[in-house]
Amino acid sequence: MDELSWQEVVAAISQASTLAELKDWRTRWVGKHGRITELMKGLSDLPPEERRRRGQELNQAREAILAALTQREQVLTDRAEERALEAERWDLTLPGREPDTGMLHPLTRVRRRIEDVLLRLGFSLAYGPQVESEWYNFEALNIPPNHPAREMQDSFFVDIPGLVLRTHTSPVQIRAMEQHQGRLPVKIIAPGLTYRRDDDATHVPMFQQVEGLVVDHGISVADLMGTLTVMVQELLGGSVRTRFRSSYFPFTEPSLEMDVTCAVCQGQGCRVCKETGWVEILGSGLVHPTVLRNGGYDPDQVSGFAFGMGIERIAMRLYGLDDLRLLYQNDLRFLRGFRHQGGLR
Amino acid sequence: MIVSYRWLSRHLERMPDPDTVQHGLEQLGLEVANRTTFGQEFEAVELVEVMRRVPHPASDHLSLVTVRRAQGEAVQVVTGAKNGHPGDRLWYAPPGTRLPDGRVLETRMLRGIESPGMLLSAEELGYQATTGDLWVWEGREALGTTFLDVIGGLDTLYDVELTPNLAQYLQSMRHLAQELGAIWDIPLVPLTAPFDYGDAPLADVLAPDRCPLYGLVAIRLKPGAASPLWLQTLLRAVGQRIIHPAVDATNFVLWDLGEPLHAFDAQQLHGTLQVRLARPYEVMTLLDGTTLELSARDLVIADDEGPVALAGIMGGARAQVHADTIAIWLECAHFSSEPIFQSYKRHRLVTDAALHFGKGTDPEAVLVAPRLVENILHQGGVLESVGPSVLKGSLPTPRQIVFDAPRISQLLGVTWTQEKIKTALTRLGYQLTASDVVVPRYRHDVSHIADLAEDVARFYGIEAIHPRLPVQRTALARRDEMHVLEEAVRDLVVSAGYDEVMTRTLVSPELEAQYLTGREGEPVRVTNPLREEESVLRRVLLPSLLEVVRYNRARHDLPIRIFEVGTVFSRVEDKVVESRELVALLSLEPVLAFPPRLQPSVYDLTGLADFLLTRLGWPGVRQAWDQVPSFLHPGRVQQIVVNGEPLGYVGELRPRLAESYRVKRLGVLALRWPQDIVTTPFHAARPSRYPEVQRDLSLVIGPRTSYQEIDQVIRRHGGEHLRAVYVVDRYEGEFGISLTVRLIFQSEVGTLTDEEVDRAVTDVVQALQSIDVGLRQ
Repeated sequence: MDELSWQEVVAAISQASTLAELKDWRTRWVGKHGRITELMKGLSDLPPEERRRRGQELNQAREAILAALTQREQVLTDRAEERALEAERWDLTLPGREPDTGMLHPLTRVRRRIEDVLLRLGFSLAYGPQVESEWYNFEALNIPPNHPAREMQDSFFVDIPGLVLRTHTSPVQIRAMEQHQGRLPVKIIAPGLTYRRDDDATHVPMFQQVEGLVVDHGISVADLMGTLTVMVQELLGGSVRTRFRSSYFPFTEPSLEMDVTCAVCQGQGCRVCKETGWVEILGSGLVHPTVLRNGGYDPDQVSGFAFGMGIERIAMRLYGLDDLRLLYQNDLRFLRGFRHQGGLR
Repeated sequence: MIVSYRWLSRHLERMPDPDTVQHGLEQLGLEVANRTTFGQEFEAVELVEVMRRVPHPASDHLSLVTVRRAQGEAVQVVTGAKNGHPGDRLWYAPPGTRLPDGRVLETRMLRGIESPGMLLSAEELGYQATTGDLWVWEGREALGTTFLDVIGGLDTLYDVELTPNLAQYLQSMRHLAQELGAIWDIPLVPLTAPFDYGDAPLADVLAPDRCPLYGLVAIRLKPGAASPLWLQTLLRAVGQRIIHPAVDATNFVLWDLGEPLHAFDAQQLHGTLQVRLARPYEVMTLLDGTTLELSARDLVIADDEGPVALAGIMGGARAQVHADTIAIWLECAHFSSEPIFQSYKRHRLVTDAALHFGKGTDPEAVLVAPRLVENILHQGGVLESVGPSVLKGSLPTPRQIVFDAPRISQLLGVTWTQEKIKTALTRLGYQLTASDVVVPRYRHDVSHIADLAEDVARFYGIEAIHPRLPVQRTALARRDEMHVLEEAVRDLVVSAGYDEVMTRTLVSPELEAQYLTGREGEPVRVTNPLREEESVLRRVLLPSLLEVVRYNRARHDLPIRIFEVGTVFSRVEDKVVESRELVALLSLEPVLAFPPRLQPSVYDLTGLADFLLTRLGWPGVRQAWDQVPSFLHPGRVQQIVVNGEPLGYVGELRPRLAESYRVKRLGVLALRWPQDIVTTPFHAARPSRYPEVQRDLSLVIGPRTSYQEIDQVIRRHGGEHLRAVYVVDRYEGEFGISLTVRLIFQSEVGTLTDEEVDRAVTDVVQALQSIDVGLRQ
């Protein structure tokens, strides 16, 4: 095969440094008028024996050259691509463009967590108006006019006689019982805004509560304690310890306050918990017979438990806050801070 | 209320340690807010004996008194006291002693002579004695005995907070001791025998329903005596001042039995006493000097000349006991609590008597109290004689509750035996008959079996009840549709990149007035707001969110991208309507950022509106607004109408207003919930199997032609296979405004031919000419 053996051609191809060189090799050797193509055309002039041998030889050479070309082409293409991509290198240490999503307010998220736990325990959601009648807010809940307990809650009144900004979510207890019209069980939670005439580091005039109410045959203090313990441990973590203390609310009898271990000292005793190791988390009790009666239920036949807790207090506990007012300041730096881990829950 | 360990121990046969007592109080439901000790200041005060007394060489009223201390050490003290002679035993406070009034003693130079510490009078120790300036001690204790020793050592004090129900009967050391003794099973020390009332014509009760029981006892006192030391010590410990033996005795009974007594100076009374309702506009002067105008709702104790006490609350000035009073009429009464409560509230007179009578007292204390006073006065050497007495009325009948032990167990969720429940109730002072529980007369808080259950729980401790989850019939837990929707809106707006804020519903009427659209109606006003800026319930959300913008922009330059879903209020006659509103705000400013971000524009908000309406399935449209309120940019606003009901708007705040909140431009979307929510039903559609054909048209439009018109014309004339219309470009040049729209054609039944599509496009182009929209050449 003239000046070069096909082995030499293959060797030369594998050394080619540009795609143009390869093209040239291809044209010269295996193209339409390439040498091997030409030689193959001349095969017909040879005797059969010779033709077969020569033909095999030429085919072998052609295959080898084509394979070399393909292989080298791949190598050179890869190299070219590498160079091109290298030229496109970006500095990915620059900040990324984060998706433009917003954040729910921390109090909405905490409210939803509370609702979620209680929905899983079979509570339905119930609601009542924020501007409430004095009957639902006080009298029906066993707080008659001039009752000492009315002093406990300083109320906002509006310019429509007999109406008040509800001081707690407890009026929804009566509304829910009325709606159930004597059917059992009544098992609701009522989240919502409430109002009291107070404004300092631990009180805001508008705040959020979640009320809970269960009325059925045979409901007991033990049921109340079990339900609240499960709820609080689900919200604050299984390692939190709880205790109940005797207390007083006009609309429950007996009344219990629930404490959880202080988050600051883990129950060892510190200034936050007045050295007791405990902080109060909610108020609860068996529904007072008068309240059951006002809701249309016979206290000699059924019993119930109720509880009410401040969503802000749970939020402060969950997010380690010591000033309630931060939650209503709407400082975007504070709210956007929740995009970090806090955003998950 | 301050509870004294020493005082409690007077009532119990045995007394556990102070920690156990605190735990017991907590188990009873009292909160121990603080625990202190009484008597430390007396630890340094020691008994000494006067050896010599000589006049001060440089003073005509001071003396030099040399006293001997326990180890024989002699100390010379300068004193101005008239008494304290050799052989007298006195109380000496060395330098460094802190006296009850807060003074810390030191060595002073008095007229050139050094005087270390002080010889004390009874007053300087906060006590009363009758021995003159210095307290000459008559006891036989050895020299060096401290004053703390003679009062019986330190006392532990518990500052307890009583819930209103416990205040109805536990403002009494006797009742506290009784409850503690019950839970510890320690017997009470028996009370003194009842007083033997006579039947003298001293008093009449004209309002028996307000005063079921009224006792009056005439007592003569010896002048110049003091209350016994133990009683002074107990009163001092719980924070009472020592005033006069007769007053001290009544104060003692007040805290001991929870029964307020009143002592009248008998020589100032005229005729007999009447317990009666006040006459309208009757006037009396109280012992604190204030003059009160009374009404027929007030109960008074009156003599022939008018009221001498506002019954159960405060005595009058006229018959007040003085230091030289030698004859008293001692009142022991039981008043109905509710009217007393109302009366002291009405007159704003908060006294210890009112706080007891107003919550409820023990009628049986009326029978014992005079005997207790008599004993105390006798011990103090104050009692001359007990004179005539009278008791009007009778003890109220005790309440009875059917005894149902299984019901109590069921309410608590325990399986306690009837015996166990009986034990608790009996030890707490209830009497059990064959079928009933007789409630002690002082337990005004007990009327139902639930109250008994509470007592049983307190008796055994809440921790004796084992928590469990209720076993109930299963019922479906429901959510409320309206609120599901509200939460969905929150999630959608958050997913669109807005942060939720939470603002107060009480707003300033002036601020709100600027942002009304005219459809809001009258506001609901708060009649007792904390401040004028929070005196109405908001009718619109926007001003509250603008305040958030102001607050943040005053502090930093973060872009504003916020929303709230909150309650707005309006008044329809005497009803309040509470509805839900969404407001989103977006600052329309270039965002300086790498990697670059699009500058927010009003289109982000119109897009948000469409996104919400589509996702919620509300059949709503954005349309021109004829009467744009002045707080909005008139050229960049649309109304949002759902089913013909205007529910909101989307656009830009008037830039002048935006700037007042430190934002150049501010976009706003406001959307209310419809009255009746009808959502467009959704059905999933199978995509066509045939290819879609795409045609772009470059249109030239006039400045007043809205895209909405063009879109409508294209859709109306695009034929049955027109699937979608998009705007892909908008360009403003010398020729006017050019819009490039992309039309997508697709058939459900076959592949469209070029001719079919061309025909449709031609129809569209022709139709557009009718609204003066042509193809760009």
